Amino acid sequence: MTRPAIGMSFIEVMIACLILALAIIPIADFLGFVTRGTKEDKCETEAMQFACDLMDFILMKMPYDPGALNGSSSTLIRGSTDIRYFIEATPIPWNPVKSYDIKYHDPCGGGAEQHDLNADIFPIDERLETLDKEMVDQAGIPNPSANDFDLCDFKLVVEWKPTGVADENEFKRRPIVLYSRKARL
Amino acid sequence: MGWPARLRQGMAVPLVLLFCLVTFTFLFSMVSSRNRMRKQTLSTHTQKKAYYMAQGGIQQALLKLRLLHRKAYDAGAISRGVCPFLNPYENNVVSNANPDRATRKALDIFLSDLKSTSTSPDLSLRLTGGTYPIPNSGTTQWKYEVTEFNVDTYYMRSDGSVKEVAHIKAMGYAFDPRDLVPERRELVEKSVELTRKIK
Repeated sequence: MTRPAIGMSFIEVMIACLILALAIIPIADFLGFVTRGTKEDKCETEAMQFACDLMDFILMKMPYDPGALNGSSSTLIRGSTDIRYFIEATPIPWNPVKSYDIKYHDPCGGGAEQHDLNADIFPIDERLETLDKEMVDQAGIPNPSANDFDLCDFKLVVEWKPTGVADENEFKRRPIVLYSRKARL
Repeated sequence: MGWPARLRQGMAVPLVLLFCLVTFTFLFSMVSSRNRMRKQTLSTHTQKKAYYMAQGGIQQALLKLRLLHRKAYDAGAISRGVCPFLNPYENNVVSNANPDRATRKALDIFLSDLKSTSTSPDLSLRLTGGTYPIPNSGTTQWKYEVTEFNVDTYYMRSDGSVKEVAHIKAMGYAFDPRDLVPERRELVEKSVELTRKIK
């Protein structure tokens, strides 16, 4: 008399364990990939937020002083991100700027223009060095020979890595670069 | 208790396969959701870069207004049909404008060099140079231009000064090769008040 088979056979369980063991490897890989990626995204967003805050501060709040800012750098921790940044400030030399002259006519009564000015307006290139100083405001015009420029490029490079990652090369992997211009106003 | 033994036979493998299928589906949806978020993050970051390019355009426009404020004021007056040679003082007031004689010619000339390519050297060369060159390619797609300079309001005050309220719009462009879009744009607006007063 044979015993009826009940439950799962040993071979069946072994096969199931084998399938599970093979499946666990890509599952763990997937999980690791998603977790790492989410952490990196969070760090990159923190670094970007820091970059924007710093750029806003440079553009809106700091006095115009490219000499003082050029080459400045620092390392800090923000949230769960190690950040190091560099600022490069490059003055922009003056080109002649596009302007115009208008052929004079006597002032029109009441201010309403009576003439067709289209033919009386001529494009000119204005050299800023030769501007009448009294026509410019009290800040005066720049002196290119003294490297006194009124417009400057600001390049902000923010390198980042998740806090706790020891490899310094991680800083170089995905730097954030913001670029803008600031004028002496 | 539970299921009869004959039904439990041969269930281990299908159960494990079902578990694997469910887990893989769950993980796949996690990965695709992360990829969507990543694209969103990238586009937001490139948008921010475009915003700061546009801010650069606004700064250049404000600087030109500071240095050539009389020309800016006159160009605005002409665009409204107001005579640029009328000196507003005492009884010599600006009482009206003539829209039929309004022309944007002076404003368009004034605007024509308010763009990143007008400075020397071109902005794209400035981006790739220096101690920390931008590592991404496609820096020629980083640029800005002032697209509008309109005088919306023109009025005279009781103290004899004439005020123009002008709106400046600058468009900034930026590009990141990891972002699938060829370029991102951002528009920044700024209002300024130009005053003319005879002392």
